[in-house]
Amino acid sequence: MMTALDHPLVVEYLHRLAAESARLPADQAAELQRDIREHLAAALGNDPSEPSIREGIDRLGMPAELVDAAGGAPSHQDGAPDTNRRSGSDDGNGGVELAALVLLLGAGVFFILWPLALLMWAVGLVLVFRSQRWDVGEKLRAALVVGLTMPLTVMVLGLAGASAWTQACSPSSGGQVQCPESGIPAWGIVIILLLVAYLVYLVWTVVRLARAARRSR
Amino acid sequence: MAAQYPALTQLRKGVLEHCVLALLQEEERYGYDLVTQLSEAGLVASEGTIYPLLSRLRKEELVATSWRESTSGPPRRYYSLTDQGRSVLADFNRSWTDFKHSVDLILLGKELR
Repeated sequence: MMTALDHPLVVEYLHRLAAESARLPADQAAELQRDIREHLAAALGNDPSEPSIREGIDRLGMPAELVDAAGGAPSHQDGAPDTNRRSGSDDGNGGVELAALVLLLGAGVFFILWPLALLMWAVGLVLVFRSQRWDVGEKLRAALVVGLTMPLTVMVLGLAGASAWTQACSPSSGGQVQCPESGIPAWGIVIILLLVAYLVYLVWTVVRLARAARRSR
Repeated sequence: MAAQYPALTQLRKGVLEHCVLALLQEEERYGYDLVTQLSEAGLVASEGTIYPLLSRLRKEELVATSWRESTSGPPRRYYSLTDQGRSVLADFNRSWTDFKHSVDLILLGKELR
């Protein structure tokens, strides 16, 4: 059965709303469209007549009017440049977010050049929180999961170094060289498993965040 | 629709969010229910413009929301008044009473006491 939301007039209205919503940040645009879909479903019920659909849509108002009420940036049609889009700090193609990901991951790779790595890490985190395309949850994931790469790399290599040091062969008081038992201890296996899990989650998170940064507005 | 004075539009804008809070003081409601009430009261010209307002009230933590399944369409977002919203509404009610009294006195040509 065709619902009210499937009616061509409604589909066309929602399509125009989606196009106008490009003037809003992604989370606001998605929320507005969801609210309007819910409104139309409640207002029109099942199997509405065409006049009642037209009336319902007229009562809602023009899509541009709704987006303006939500604080949407002026559209090109208004004759104003679109420079205020997403508070004016977005480059319009997710470049800020992708730069943040590259910097945070790069800080982990180039950790040995610690002044550079620290700078990359700090700038990456600043870009994460300045992002206009990620919502709060995505920003937190970027900071906590991707931002953890550099500190975790340093910590793991530090632990590995300390472990190698304690397991190194050393001369005993009797002049014999003593070596501890070889093999990875149980806690080492646990850490390796946790690291593998983190790496898988890191890759998944980076892919999701990159997609969110490039998603269509 | 009859022609409207610009002043009326401004007055509507000024009181609309508090009317939303007032509609929620007794019970929670979903968006369409709120919009219908406000529209019938003549407080909104375009019903869809209420949703950005509701979104702002939610971000300001004056209302809280929860989702419920609906038998006739997508899930519905229900709005309820938070303690902060209740406090803002109480402040507005006091101010409104004084404001209305002052305007009435001037419009009726009486002296303010």
